[in-house]
Amino acid sequence: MTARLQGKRCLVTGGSRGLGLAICEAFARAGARVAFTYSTHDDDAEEARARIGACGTPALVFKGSVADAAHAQQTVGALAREWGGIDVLVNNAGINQILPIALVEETDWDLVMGVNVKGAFLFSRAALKPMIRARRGHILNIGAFSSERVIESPVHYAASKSALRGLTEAMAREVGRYGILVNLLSPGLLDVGLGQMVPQQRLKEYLDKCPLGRVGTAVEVASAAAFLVSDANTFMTAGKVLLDGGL
Amino acid sequence: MTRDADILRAGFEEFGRFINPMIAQRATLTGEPFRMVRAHGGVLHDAEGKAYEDFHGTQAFGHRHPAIALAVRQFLESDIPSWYPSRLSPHAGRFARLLCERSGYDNAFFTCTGSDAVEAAMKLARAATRRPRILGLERAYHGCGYGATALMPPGPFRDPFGPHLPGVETLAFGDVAALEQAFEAGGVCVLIVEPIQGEGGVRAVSDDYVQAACALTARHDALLVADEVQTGFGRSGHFLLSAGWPRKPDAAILAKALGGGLVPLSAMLTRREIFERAYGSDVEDGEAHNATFSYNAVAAVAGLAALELLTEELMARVSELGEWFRERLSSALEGLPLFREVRGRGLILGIELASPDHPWLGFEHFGLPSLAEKGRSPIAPLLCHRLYRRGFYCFPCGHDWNVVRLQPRYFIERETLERFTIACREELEFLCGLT
Repeated sequence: MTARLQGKRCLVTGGSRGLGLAICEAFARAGARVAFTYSTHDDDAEEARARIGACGTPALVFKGSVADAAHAQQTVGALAREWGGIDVLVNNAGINQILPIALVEETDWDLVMGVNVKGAFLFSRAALKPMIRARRGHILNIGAFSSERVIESPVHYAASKSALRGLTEAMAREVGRYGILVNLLSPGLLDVGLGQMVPQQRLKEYLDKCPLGRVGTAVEVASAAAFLVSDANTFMTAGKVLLDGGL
Repeated sequence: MTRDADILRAGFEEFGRFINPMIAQRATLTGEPFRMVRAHGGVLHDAEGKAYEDFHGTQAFGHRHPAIALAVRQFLESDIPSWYPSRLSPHAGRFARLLCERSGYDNAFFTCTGSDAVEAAMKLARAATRRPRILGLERAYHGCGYGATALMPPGPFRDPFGPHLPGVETLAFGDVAALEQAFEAGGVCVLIVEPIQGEGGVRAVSDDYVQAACALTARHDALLVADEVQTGFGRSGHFLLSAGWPRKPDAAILAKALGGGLVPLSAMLTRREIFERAYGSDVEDGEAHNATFSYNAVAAVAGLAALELLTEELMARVSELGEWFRERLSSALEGLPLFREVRGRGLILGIELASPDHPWLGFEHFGLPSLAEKGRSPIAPLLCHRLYRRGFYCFPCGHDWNVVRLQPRYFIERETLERFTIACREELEFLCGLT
C-alpha cells in the first residue's frame, strides 16, 4: 500500500541516511514536498538530496543539531517562507551509543537525551506554531522497540526512546483539539542502523523470538510512516505503533 | 562528488557488507573511530576533523609519509617496468642489497605479508635440512598461513583449521628444559622465535632462553629464525633486535613498516649458503618457493624510501624515546589497582593490566557470554575503548586481552606521548573507579 501525500509539506529530522532517508524517499514518492535536516556528513546529505530529488520534487536541506533550539526555529522558519507552512514533522534524528551502564558518563547521557528527546521537543514546538494556526498537521516520533519490549539495550538510549512515548501522549492530548495528530512509530531491528551492530548470537535470539523470523527493512517502516502522516489516518493519535515482526 | 569522496562516504559500510561483517561489527561495538578520511602529519583524521594517533605499529613512519609517497609517485610517473617476466627486477635487487648491508645477511626473499615470509622460512628450513620438525613458542603469532597457523595457541586463529601441518610443535614459553628435550628427540629443522612476542602480550624471551636456543640450533644443525615483524626495522630501537643474540639467527623476518606503510611488503633475510643448500642444486629448484609479486618494483621503491628514512639517528631516537615513555607510563600508572606493569623495548611497549572482578565490567554483562566462557579479559578492550575517545588508537594483544599494545610512529613528539600518558592514567583511574 502506498499512502498518498500529494502536496504535503514534510520535514524529516535526521534524513540524510538510514531510516530517515528511507522515509524521505517514501514521502517524495507519495507526492510530498520533502525537507530534511542532518548534523554532520555533508556528502551523505548531498547523496540524499539527489535520491529524494529523483523520487519527486527537489528536497530542501538544513544542517544543524536537532538539540539546538535556534536550528529548529530557523529550519521551520525557512519552511514557512519557502512553503508557507508545514504539514508533517517526523522526529527521526537519533543517536545511539553501545555502552554498558558502567561506561555511560554524564556527558553520554546528556548527548543521547539531547538529540533523541530534546531534539524532538524543540522541533515539535517549532512546528506546532504554524500547525496550530493552520489547525491541521501530523507529528510522528520515531521510537524504538527497546522502549516497548524487554530486550537489552543501552540504558540512555532506551530511556530516551521511552521518553518519546510520554512526549507523544502528552503532545497528542494537548494539540488534538487543533486537529493535529501525534503518533509514535517504534521499529524493531532493521536492515539499517542498530540492526547492523547486534552480535550474531543476540541477533539469533531475537529472530528466534520473532514470529516473522527476520529483521525489518527501512522501506517497510517508511511505508508505515507514510500512512500514519497521510490523510488516510484521520483518527489515530497518541498511537504507539510497533513494527517488529511480532516480537 | 568525486570517486574518492563517494568511497569515503559509502565504502566503510561496503566493507562490512562485502568483506567482513564481523570486523565491522567489532569496530562498531567497541566504539572504534573507524571513519578516517584523511592522513596528515602522520596522524589520522575523521570526518569531523578529530585527530587520532595510530599505535598499531604498521605505520612506523606515520600515515602516508611524504618521502615514501613521493618516491612511489615519482616511480609511477616514470616509464620503468614495475614487474619483470624474468623476475629479475633491478629495484628488488637494489633493495635486497641495501637490506643485506644493513642487516648483515646476504640473501633476501620478498613477499607481501609477514605470514608469507614465515612460510618461506619454514620451507627454507625443511628444504635445507630435509628434516620435518618445526618448533615455535606458546602464544606466538607468526601469521595466518597454514604453517604459521599450526604454531598458534588454541583459539580462533587455530581451532577451525585442523588438521594442521604435521611436524609443527609449540613449546612452553621460556622453558629451557622443554626446549632441550625437544631437540634431543631429533628431527628439528627450525626454531622460530619472536624476540618480543607482540600478540602474545609484549613478552620478551629471556636471555637464558635465547642463549639455549642459539646453542641448541647450532649443535643440532637446525635453523634459528627470528620473526622480527613486530620488533624489527627500528621498532625496538634496533634494525634487528636479534642482532644482539649470541648467535646470529639463520633467518630473520621483516614486514609491516618495511613497505613504508603504503605498500604490502615483507622479507625473509638469510644467508646465501642456506639458500643454496635449500634451493641451489638446479636452476629449476631456484623457483621452488616463489610468488608472482615477490619482486615488484613499486614495493621495492617504497621499501627503499623507508630504508632511507630509517637512519641510525632515528633508531637511537626510538630507543631513547621508548625508554622515557616506558618509565613515564610506569610511574604515571603506578598505584592504580588494575595496573601491573609496562614492558617492552624501544617503541613496542605493552601495558599489562589486571582483569576487573566486578561483574558489570564482564563480557557476560556486555552481552558477549562466549568471550567470557573463553576466559577473555575485558580490561584491555575497555581501556582501548576509553582511549579512542581521547584520540588514541590502541589495541589489545591478540592472545592476551590483559595487555594493551603500544607501537607509536617513530617520529611521534614527546608531548604527544605525554598527552597519552595523562589520558591513560585518567581513563584507567576511571575504570578502577568502576570496580
